[in-house]
Amino acid sequence: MSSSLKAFSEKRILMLGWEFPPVHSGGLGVACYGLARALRTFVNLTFVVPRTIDASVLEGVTLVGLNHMDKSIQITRPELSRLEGGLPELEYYQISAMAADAIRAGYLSQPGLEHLSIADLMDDKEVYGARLLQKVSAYAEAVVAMYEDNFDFDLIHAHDWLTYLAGVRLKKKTGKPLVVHVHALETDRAGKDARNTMYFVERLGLQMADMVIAVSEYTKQTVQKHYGIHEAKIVAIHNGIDPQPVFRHEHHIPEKIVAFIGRLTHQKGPFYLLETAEKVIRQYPDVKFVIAGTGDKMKEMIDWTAYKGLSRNFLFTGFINREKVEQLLAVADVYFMPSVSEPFGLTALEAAQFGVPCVISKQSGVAEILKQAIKADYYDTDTFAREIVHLLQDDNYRKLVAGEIGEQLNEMKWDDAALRVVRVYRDFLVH
Amino acid sequence: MPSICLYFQLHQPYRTCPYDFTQIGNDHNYFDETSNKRFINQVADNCYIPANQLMLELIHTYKKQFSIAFSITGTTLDQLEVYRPDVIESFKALTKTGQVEWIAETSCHSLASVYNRQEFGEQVKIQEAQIKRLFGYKPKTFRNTELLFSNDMVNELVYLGYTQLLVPSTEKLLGDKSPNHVYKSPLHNKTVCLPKNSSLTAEITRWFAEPGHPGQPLTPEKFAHKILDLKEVPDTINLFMDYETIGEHKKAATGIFEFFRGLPKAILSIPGFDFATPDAVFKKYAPVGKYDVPYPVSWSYPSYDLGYFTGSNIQQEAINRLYDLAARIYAKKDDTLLLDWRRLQSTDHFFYMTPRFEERGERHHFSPFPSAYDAYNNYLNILIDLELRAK
Repeated sequence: MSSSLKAFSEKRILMLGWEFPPVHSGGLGVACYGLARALRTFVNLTFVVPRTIDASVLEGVTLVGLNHMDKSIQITRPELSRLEGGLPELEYYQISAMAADAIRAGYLSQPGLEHLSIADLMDDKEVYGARLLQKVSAYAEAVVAMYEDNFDFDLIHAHDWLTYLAGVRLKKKTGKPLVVHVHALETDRAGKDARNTMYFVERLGLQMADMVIAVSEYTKQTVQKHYGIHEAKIVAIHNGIDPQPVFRHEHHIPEKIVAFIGRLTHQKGPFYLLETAEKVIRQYPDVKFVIAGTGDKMKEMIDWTAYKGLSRNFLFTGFINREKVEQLLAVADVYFMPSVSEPFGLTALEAAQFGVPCVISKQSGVAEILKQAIKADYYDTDTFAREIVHLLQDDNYRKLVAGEIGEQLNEMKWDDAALRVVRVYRDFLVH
Repeated sequence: MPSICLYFQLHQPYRTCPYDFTQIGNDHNYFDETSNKRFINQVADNCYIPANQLMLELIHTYKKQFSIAFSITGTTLDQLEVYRPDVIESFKALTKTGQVEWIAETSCHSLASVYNRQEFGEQVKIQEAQIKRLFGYKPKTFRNTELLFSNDMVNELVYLGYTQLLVPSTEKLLGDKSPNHVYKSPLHNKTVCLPKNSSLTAEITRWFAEPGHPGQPLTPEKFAHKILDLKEVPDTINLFMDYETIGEHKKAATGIFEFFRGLPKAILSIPGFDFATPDAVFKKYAPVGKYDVPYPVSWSYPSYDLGYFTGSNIQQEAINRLYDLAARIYAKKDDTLLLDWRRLQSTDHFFYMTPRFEERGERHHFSPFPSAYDAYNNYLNILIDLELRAK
């Protein structure tokens, strides 16, 4: 560690996040944990999340769960009256009228909320849940209350739109630098034309940030293209991945297995998956597409397989836990990820670790890393199908595409990612 | 002398356990013993035991004037024999009075009559054998799963030895006809049938103690008046229902037990009325006309078809895959495999997959699964394992 970095370790970073294991639902929590674990040796780190069940999961990091806040801190909403009187504060945030309406509706639509403490609102077993917008607003109030209660810091680092409102408010109040970290965007989730509350909150955060960290070059480009942020303000830093014990299983399903793991939502390209599958099955009938995950497109997908009389070639597992994910990767012959827009795509990397050849869309961050993986545009189901059939038929080709991933993983240590994040901090903190 | 023909059906399926892809090929235990035991105990305590007690009392009180008919699926009998032999004993006691008729049906509450006629025949014979073994009774009357019937089943049933049938009725099928008589099949002169009186049965099974339905609380006397108010002179009032109506679907607190306790007195006080089992009704009355059922009709409210069981893509896919296995399962000659396959034929498994409740924003009260598609996914995982065993 260089001397300048050593002096740096006194700096206090306030990290704002939404998921932190064990309270998490997906990749965001995994990434935040990996980054915090690597960063803790460089800086003094406080990590705020809506809810914790064990504050001591990571030594050296002060983890603050808002569900443990003093219950006397109610949802004060001084801005509620201001909201009703013409939204000056939200206008100050430069949020469009549409987003302001949505946020106001979120505020006002829950009778009884006015007597709820922030701690109670945050103590929700659903990480996201039905009161997400209220939680997002309350989260912003809570961190301001923390600051006013003599909690000081040198830099704010906010992960994803859920915490951008909080980050922006704190920056306005304190003048401290704000770094926003983009793990996913509304234009990934809802399509590139999305212009909804989440989009405008994201754009606000990106505009107000002093620096933007994107999890991939792909996401960096999305931030430029769809949010109008200048290239110079964005840096792409890939997530790290921890080497893990991998294994192969013999399985009893006689067909070759093509695995898909992810939420069944528009973003993941579910219908490109089905279209590809139909083409694969026509040429290679002894295949089973094992589809792990759930989402708003699940029913439609299942219904399609039944209607087509192709249910024999599909297996829908529903949501599966970590252990089952590994069991699936241990038996898969091909991993398929036709995402329409994928900021990173950690599961593909995990599949590669398990020695499973990956067929992935070019519209993904992980495509920048997985050198040997087969890549095609998400809508190019002919290429996907041709490649999957080739992989299923030809063991040598399969081995070639699966390749040796060890070297690429070495370039993907969390320590390296953390070092690059520290360099971002340093530009604002060392003068 | 008009008769009241009371027929009760009892069915409990073998509910499946959560079964995921890692179990495929390793684990052939498909059925959830804990939950099945719990359901059987619950329905035995709420319905079978107290209702049998009531029926026995009524037979002792009214002697030859009161009689009833039952059918119990094999999946129910199998579970009762293991978990609740006391229920079997109480049915034996009822049978001994001579006032009970046993009705034949499929052993697994299956739709084999639609999907595989050979399997249908097998299941009817299995069911006969079990009734014979437990109650020393050879059924003479047949009812199909969900009371499902259409003309084209008649030949098969004649071949299996049944010319006395319990059948559903709808306004459309009846036309100007009344359900309150014996009819014969247009396809076979000797086959006679009893159409269910859907509206009078519904007064008990659906509307009893339902707030907002006119005439509540329904008393045996009010019910008897409804029969007297009929515009014609009936031969038989065919009240066909789930036995679980008494104490399970309609809990004891609704007064359903008191209703049935008072029913014989109220009916028998009408001059000329009595109770008769289907077999007795067929002996007593000649057919008044032909009952034409050109397409499959069931007693499933409100559509009287198989819509709740096979109405969607996923239900059709699941049931077709199940019956596609028939030839391979038979060829294996493996009794355990055959039994598993049969228990997976119960209509309940397909009923859990109906998306109709979700589409209406309702909860599927009978399903142990969070959604129709979860039920389907779980069933298909089991089916994959079954297919592997049948290979």
